[in-house]
Amino acid sequence: MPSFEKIDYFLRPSKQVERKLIIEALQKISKAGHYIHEYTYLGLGSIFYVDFLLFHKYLLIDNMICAERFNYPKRMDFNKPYEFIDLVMKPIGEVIQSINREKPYLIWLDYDFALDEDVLSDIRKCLHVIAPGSILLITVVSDLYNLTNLIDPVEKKEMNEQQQKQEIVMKLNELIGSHYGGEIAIKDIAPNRLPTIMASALRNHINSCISIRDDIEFFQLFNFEYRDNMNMLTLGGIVGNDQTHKLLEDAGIYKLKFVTDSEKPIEISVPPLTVREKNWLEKNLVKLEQHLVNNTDLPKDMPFEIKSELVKNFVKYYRHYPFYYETLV
Amino acid sequence: MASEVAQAYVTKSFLIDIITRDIGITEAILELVDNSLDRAVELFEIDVTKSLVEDYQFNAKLKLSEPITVNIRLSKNDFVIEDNCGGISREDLENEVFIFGNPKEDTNYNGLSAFGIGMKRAFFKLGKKVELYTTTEDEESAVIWDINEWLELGEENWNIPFSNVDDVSLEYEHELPGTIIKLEELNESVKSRFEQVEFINALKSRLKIGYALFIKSGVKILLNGEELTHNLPGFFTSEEIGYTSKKIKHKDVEIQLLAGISPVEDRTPRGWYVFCNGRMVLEADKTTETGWGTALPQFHPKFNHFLGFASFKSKNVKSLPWSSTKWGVERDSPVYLVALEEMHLQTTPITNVLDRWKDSKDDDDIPTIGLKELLRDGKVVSVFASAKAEATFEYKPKKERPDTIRISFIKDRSLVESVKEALGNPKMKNSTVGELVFDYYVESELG
Repeated sequence: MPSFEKIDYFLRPSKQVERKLIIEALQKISKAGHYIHEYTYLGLGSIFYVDFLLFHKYLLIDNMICAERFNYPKRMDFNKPYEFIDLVMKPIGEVIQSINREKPYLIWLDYDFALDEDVLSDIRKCLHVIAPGSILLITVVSDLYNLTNLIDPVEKKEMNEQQQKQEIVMKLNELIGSHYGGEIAIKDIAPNRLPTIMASALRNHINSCISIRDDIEFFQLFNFEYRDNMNMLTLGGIVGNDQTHKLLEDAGIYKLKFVTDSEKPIEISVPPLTVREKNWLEKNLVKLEQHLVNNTDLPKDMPFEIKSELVKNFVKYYRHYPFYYETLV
Repeated sequence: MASEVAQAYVTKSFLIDIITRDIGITEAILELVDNSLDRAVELFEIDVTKSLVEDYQFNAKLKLSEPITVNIRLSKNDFVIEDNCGGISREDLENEVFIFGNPKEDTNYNGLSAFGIGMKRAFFKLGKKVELYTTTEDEESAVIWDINEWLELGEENWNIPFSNVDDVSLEYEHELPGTIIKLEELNESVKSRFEQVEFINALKSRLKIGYALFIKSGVKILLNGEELTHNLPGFFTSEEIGYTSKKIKHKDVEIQLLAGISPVEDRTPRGWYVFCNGRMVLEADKTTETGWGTALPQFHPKFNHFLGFASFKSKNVKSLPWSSTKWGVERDSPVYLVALEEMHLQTTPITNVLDRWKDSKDDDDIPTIGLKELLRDGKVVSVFASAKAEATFEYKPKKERPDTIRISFIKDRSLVESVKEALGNPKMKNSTVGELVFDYYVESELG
């Protein structure tokens, strides 16, 4: 089932924060003379085309290709916001072979499932063909619940929770063990470890694929973990040479707090909030920020219950926090 | 008095032992054929890799008085290989041919002589006495080399003297200049192999496949009087199905890839055919050597109709990814790693289609139309006649995919009987049980 049938794409605040952070970083790169608006965007728009709308409006990208593996061409075409989006009804892995190898691309492999053979294969294909300067973003589900898909469902019925975990660990080792560069253990699939393991495996896979090319390296920019309804992980960066790296440094990209070249993901989950809550938080930003420097707990006089982690993230990313209203149209 | 240096050198017997160890008799014979064709390629500027994508016939173009021919005759007593590929100059014989590990530097043709060791190790592998006669446009030379006598000369003298051309027992019978080599006093293992029909047949197949592009381009290869034909498969194409043709370059190597689906009447398992300067080094490969089971899924009978050609071409033969025996690839060479990525990229759309159309009774995706039907209404295109330089595999089904799919599963007999009773009809068909159980789940769980 396509994930849009489960959740409205617009109503994912953390995902939206992620999109806006990426846009902010890419705008900075553009300002430094590396013009992102000349790029071609290849992504998985789904029927909402959210990233296409944003990347066109805020990154001024006109060349856009949307790949869709599910078979509803009319609906995809009907919802296409711009004529210039080239809709290709194929899995993205089959679109990569026809991209122009001379021109820079922004590719977002934005999957709604966990790391698997196809994900690794698509990454591999991208890194084989993309021109220097291209940007590759990969999003996967990093939820233990989704990893149970690795287990044979018939066998799964016979297993208790512990056995399932052991089986997942075994399957994960088969899949990404060689990329992770060590044995994955049961403790590694705990929710606080799993995103780092996934990010690390993705990084190593990317580096091993790119080592075959002698013209480019991968410079990581993004490593986000967030949760709307599932734990997600996004790893991304730009491929290029020493000059690209210098350009990134000159552009001040690494000074952005949400840009990292570390294997430890940056948590960007933000809470779903009511209008009143959001307004209150924004009004009290400075106070909250100061309080959170010295305390792990929230101030005692909080007018509503909320986790301190989420408030911390809200304080960091309030500029990118989306707000949704119901509108009668 | 103690010496001031420790002795270090290579002995002849060690060298012979080590260089013949990892080469089979068949590969040794192919090395000699490579040597013959290498000279023809240089002299006539032949490029048989063109025959992958066009109808390339060099004989007609060059207007030669006779076709380029390599004639092999073998018996339990001797082995003879004769070619009219232009012959070896006296200078090359003096300064190059018999030196161990002296591949030509800076060649400017797509040669087959890669490591500067092939001919010598073929001689050592096959027999003890070598007679060689060669003629070029303006000179002729002969060598009679008794390997046992040469061994007895010791480690100081490695040279091989020229003989008088009248002293050799060989008769050269071509109009064009060329070379004839005879090996006698065959090694015991070689003698027995040469008497086996199985060996001769295997050698024949290997020659046919190894030089398929040469044969297709007009080279005549004869084994014990029989002219060999090539037997390269073609691609199936139709309005619904195409093939991939992609050319890439890595440093000084050109890589041409062709991939698609072989026709349904062709039941031979396929895979990747790999060529280096036109010489095939892997035949219908389905192993990790060509990415199966690593980047690609494990090869499975459902991929039997996958067919791919990967052709590497370079004037710098050392850049090519062939293994030292020229049967197999050097898996870790940079050019091969790049090619593997491209092969992976171009192969997945094809394996995806074959996966969907797997031609089996248990097809759980599209029960009504199998691969056979898909491959019924098209034609077999020998792309070698007129392949497009750039093409992308396309699958454009004319028929809409049916919206229904078949599910089949196996359950314990007594359990199924109990379900039938519970459903109120013990004589119910098994398939009906499955349907009712499925409908029950849909109704109670999905609403």
